[in-house]
Amino acid sequence: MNKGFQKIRIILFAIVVLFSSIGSVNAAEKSLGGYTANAPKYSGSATTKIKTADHYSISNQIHAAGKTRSVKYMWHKIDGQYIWCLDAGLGSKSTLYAGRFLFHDQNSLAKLEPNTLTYTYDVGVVVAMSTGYTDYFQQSVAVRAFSATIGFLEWSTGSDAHLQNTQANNFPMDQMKAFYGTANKWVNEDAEIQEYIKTINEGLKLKSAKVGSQLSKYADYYWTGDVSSAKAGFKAALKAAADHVKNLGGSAKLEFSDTTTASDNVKTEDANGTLVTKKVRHTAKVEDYKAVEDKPSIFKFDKIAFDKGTATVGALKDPAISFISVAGNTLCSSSDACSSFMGVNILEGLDLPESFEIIVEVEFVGYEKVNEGASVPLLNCAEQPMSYTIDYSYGGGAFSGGGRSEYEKYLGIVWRGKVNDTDKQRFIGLYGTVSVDPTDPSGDDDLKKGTIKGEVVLNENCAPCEDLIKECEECKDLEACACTELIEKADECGCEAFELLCQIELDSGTPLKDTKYCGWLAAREDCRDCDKLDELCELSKSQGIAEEDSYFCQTYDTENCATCEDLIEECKEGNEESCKKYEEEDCYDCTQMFEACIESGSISSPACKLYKDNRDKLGCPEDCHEWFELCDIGDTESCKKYEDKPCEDASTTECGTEIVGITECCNEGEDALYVDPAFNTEIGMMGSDYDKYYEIHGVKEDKIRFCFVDEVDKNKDPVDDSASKNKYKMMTDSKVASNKYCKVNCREDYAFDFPVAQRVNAGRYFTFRMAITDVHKQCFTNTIDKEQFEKDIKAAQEAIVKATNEYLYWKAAWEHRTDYKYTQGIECPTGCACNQFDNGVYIQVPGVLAWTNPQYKSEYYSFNSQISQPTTQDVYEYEGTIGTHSTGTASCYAGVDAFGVTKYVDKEKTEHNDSPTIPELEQKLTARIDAEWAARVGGVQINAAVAEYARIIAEYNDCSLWKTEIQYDPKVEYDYEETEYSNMASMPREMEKEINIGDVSYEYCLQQGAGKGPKITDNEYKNCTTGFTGSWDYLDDAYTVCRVEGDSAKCYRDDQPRHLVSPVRYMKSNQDAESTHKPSALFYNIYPKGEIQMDNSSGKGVALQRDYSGDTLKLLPVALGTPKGVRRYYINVSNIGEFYNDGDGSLGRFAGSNTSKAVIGENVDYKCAYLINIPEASMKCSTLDTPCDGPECSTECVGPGCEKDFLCEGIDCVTDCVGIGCIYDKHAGTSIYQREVSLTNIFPNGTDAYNWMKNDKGTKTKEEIESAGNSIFDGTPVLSVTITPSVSRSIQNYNDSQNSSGGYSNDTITCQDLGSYEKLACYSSFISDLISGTYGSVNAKVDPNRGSSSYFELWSGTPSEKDMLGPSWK
Amino acid sequence: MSQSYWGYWLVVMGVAVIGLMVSVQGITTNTTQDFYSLREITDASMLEAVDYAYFRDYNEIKIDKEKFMEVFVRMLAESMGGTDTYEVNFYALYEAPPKVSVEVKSNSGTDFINVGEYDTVSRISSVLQIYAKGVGTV
Repeated sequence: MNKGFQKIRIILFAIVVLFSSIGSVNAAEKSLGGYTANAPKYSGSATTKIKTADHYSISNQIHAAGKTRSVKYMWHKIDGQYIWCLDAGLGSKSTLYAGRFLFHDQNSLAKLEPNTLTYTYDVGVVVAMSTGYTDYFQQSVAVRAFSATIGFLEWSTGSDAHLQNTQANNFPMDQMKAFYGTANKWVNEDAEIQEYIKTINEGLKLKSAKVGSQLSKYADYYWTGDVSSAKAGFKAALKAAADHVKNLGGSAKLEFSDTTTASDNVKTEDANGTLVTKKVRHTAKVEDYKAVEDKPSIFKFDKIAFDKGTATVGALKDPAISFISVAGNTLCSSSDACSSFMGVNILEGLDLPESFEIIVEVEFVGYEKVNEGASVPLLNCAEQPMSYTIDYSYGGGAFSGGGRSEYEKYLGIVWRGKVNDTDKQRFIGLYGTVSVDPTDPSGDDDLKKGTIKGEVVLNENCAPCEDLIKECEECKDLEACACTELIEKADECGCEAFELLCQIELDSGTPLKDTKYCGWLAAREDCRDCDKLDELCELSKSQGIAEEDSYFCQTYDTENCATCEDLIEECKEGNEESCKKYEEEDCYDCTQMFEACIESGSISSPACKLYKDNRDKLGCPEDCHEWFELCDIGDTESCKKYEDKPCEDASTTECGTEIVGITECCNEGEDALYVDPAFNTEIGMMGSDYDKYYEIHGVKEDKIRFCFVDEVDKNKDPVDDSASKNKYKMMTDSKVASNKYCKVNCREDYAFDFPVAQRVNAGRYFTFRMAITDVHKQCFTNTIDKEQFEKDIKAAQEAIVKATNEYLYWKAAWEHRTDYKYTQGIECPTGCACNQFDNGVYIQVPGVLAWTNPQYKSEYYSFNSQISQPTTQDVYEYEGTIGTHSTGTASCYAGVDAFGVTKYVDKEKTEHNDSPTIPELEQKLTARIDAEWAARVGGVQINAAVAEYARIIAEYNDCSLWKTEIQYDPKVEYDYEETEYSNMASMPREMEKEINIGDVSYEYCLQQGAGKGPKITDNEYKNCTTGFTGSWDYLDDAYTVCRVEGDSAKCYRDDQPRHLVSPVRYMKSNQDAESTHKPSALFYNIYPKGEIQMDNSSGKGVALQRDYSGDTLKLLPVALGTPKGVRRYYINVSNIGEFYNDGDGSLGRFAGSNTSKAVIGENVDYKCAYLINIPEASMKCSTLDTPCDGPECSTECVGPGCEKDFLCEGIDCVTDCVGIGCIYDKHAGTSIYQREVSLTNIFPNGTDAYNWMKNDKGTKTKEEIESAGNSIFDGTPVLSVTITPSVSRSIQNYNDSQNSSGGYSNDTITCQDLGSYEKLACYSSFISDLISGTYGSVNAKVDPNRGSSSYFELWSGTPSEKDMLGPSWK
Repeated sequence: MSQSYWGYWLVVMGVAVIGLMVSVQGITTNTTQDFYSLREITDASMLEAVDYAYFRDYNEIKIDKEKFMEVFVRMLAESMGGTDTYEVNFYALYEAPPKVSVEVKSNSGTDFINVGEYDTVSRISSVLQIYAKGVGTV
């Protein structure tokens, strides 16, 4: 008995050992907020958090009545429709998105009466909002259990078995199954619940996808712990649903027939005339009527009236109901009696059959003839027949299939935190068409509205207008035939009659102003139409009536008949009023106004004024064509624009073609920032190698590319001068930051070489690398503005010569200043016209003022105009000679002298009071000469002019001398969905990077000849007119410079030093860079259990990193307990692109800057998959989140293992743990099997075990074992011990002591390095203790090599992970 | 009297036969139990000795032979009777691919038919196999 018991224990123990060994790797957490999913089925993990009250705030997300927790309904109004939110307690997003969901069976939604769902949630879940996590959990269980019961299973679309809500609400699939299994458990254990479900299914007549039918498959999963509150809610919900189903109204149909029955006209004569009465009956059929308890069916007449009003039709009184019958029950039979039934439910109190009729009779009364003097209305012949409408409404009870329960208009809603975030489905709601406050579950507003349309002829004596019109039209005589009668009945016969009469008048030659009926036609509002008025207006004008005097034209205007086309046409003809009205009518149309302006022929026309006044306001586009046209009619502004822009190209070149070469990887667009839209896409998983291609939108791409440029403009050089176009400054060299002669713009290209999907078996690892390649920064100038430079350098030389001449002039004046004497003369100097100075005197002024100015040639030299270019060092000759002092030369001055001195001396030689004395004049002259000379001493002004000249050359040369250097430092982070290790949170996220930045190279296009040179684009750099070179020499052109030398100043050809000029017309820089990025986290594989740690403090770890093609990559471990499925790894690139802030010049990034200076704040995100325990073939079933729809896709599993073992989870097809290397899968179990063998023939029937038969190691081992056979038992054992009862008890005690330390899996193994391999020689401390007698004497015989390296033997072959061959052997 | 003696002898012979049958049955039962225990313990010990760290590094299933011997002895101690004595011998242990051979000698306590020190010798050899239906590489 004792041994039998022991045997059972051992068997159980073995099972436990297997699971415990795996479980120890999983380190699984099984509880969630105090609730536990039933073990052992559930062994996943979950992150739990105690939620704070803030998580339950709904005020920012959902419009709730009063915005308090006590609301019964939460609803949100979208486009006039309401959305009920049934599980909004966890709303924590500022913005929620809603999307449709389908029930398990698409038809089940239509079959499920929506009110049922609404009420049940109201009763079961939402009546009280959560007060804490426990409360929420109870509600959550109830909600999810109920959702599953009605057929909605919340699965994520991926096969990662997670419903990833939030970090605080992370339910793996097992837990979701536990929700549904809990519902199944409740259904099975509670007869009342079963009855509720039965009632619902029968009441809704569900034939498939019945309520509760989806639950049994989750029977193995359920939540333990106290979920009684959740069950109460769940049960209450189902009860409410069942109750509601019981009370569901019928789907009775009501329809009024088009057929009516009418009585004959009953005529009676009275004092007023002939009174006519007529009655018309309408009949409605009601079918499928079924009364509903406590829910009355409603039908009522709301209103009855003539469509044109009683007065218009001429009836004696309004139409009235004179008879009502329901299912044969006459409710009233006179108009007086029936008047009390208007607006009243006529079905009330009636016991009605399934099918019946509602009959309503309407009475009409009026005079067809009115006696003279009577004051009663006459039935209007023009309104026969008289149309009328009866309004009615119905609903409730038997009709309640309508109203709020128009379930076909309802949709299920899943709320999400992001618009396309299918992983974050959290809320369930109902979406329906409701026009009333949803908190009011009943109300007449839910009644359906209906109308009955009818016509009745009460006056049978009317001659038909159409007959009169026809006859009159034939005779065309207003004083004869039917026309006379038509004139009498013109009002009755309406517009057609007036039109005919008017036409007859006109045809008879009556001037329009004298017509009678045409005037009437225009006077009657109901007969006016713009076409007719326009016709009559034109006719009146043709008959000599001024437009302002024409009634028809005025009416045309007051009717606002003129169209925008009319107005602009008139405006074009010069009518300012029309132009003004065109504006008043908001007719603005850029093309229309522009064409009117051009066609007007003059820029000063009203039409052009209209266009010019409004084009800026309207943002009318301007281009070369418009400028040309406007210039042609005299707009000088447009002429200037046309000349300033390279419009000649625009006429022959497609937009943007000139910059295609520069932005070839980008889209052409209006923004300065280009990002290839193809980047923002899912990346298809093709192949498993690093160098395989990607598939983007069905197009195979080697790499993912995008680039940035800082300029966009059409039909232009690469650079646009307008500052608004250059949004981002991508280089900073001050040489060209604000250079007058050139602009420098840049572009940056990037190509991302992202890794593809990786396969990995649970318990192993994967890794990846990525690279950013083809990084290329190119900066380029526009055409360097040499023409402007030549203008500037000419002016600078002129300034130098001018300064030199002035220097010499004032220097001479200063040297002779003491010689200047003012003298008075009484003789008229020779050459002066003295007779005009008869009243004055003559003053002889110093001769210095009479010099012929000595000047240097004011000539300059340039590229284009080399005039008499002197040889080097030639000194320029004076053109004139410097004059000397000559008192013999005098000027005739009176009044104001050359120095601005006012004086006057009369005939008596008397100086007037305000005149200076001659000494004073001489003093003033001397003072001025001193001042002028002082300003020029040393050639100050000459030097300043030369400095400006040098500065201009330097600025021009800077266009060829700028430098730039790429600031390339991308930040790449990564992560992957490994959640099994508790210490993964500390994994470094930034990838290791290796950046290579190449040297900058500069390219130039040179031109030495005259002229502007060709317009070139980037593609043409190497083909520019005068050749291309990587280096250049300055042009040795000659310019004029001057300088002071000794006592004089001289001008030379620029030579000391010579200022040389760049010949470069275009320049660009090129620089390449690249970077590679690898995971940075170094994990340690702890021997022998395979646990993962981020450090090796235990000394038992082996670093997880491998060399791949000479590149060492860190490896990313995947836990053995990770279930089969598709998980994702993420790559996040930031800090790419560069621009410089206009304000402080600081560096910013185009994408993903970690500073505030980022053009686009979001990083470049990439995600791809790693496939756990999934064989290659099954990958054809799906890709990431998006269902596969390409030609290689299949909805069925294809490939090895799919024949019998496949299991489709959503869109993912997965198979059991059948792939090579898969030793354990959480769901499929282990593929490791123990087998007892014979040593002489290990596999008598062969084996598929790949560790024995698929490689040399296995076959050689097999041969060696079989060769030795049973003889091994004759040899020396590796270990021999004798276990006595005493030793046995000691070992049992040891075992007991280790129960809390892992039992048999306790930590007794220490592994040492063996050969060149780490941790392969593993020793047991227990065996050492056993041998040494720790547990008593065991008579141990031990391999003498134990403790030395020869105790183990390594496999002599080459290890190969691909072939599943390791170095260890025996 | 002589007839009554025959009766006594008959009773004595019966008792002796019963004693012999009990002893033989004990040997037989012990052998059977040891065999099944040995199989189960071997199976569990091999699985317990799987080196998962080695699998992660080399993609091959390996057992640690010392861990196998340790778990085997510890489990055997749990399954032994209170008066049993076992001699355990481990032969030709291969770690990868895993193969073990174990010999267990036990004493039933029936000394009069014991041919040596131990009256039962059990031997078992086992391997761990990895099945894979798929074809491909990771």
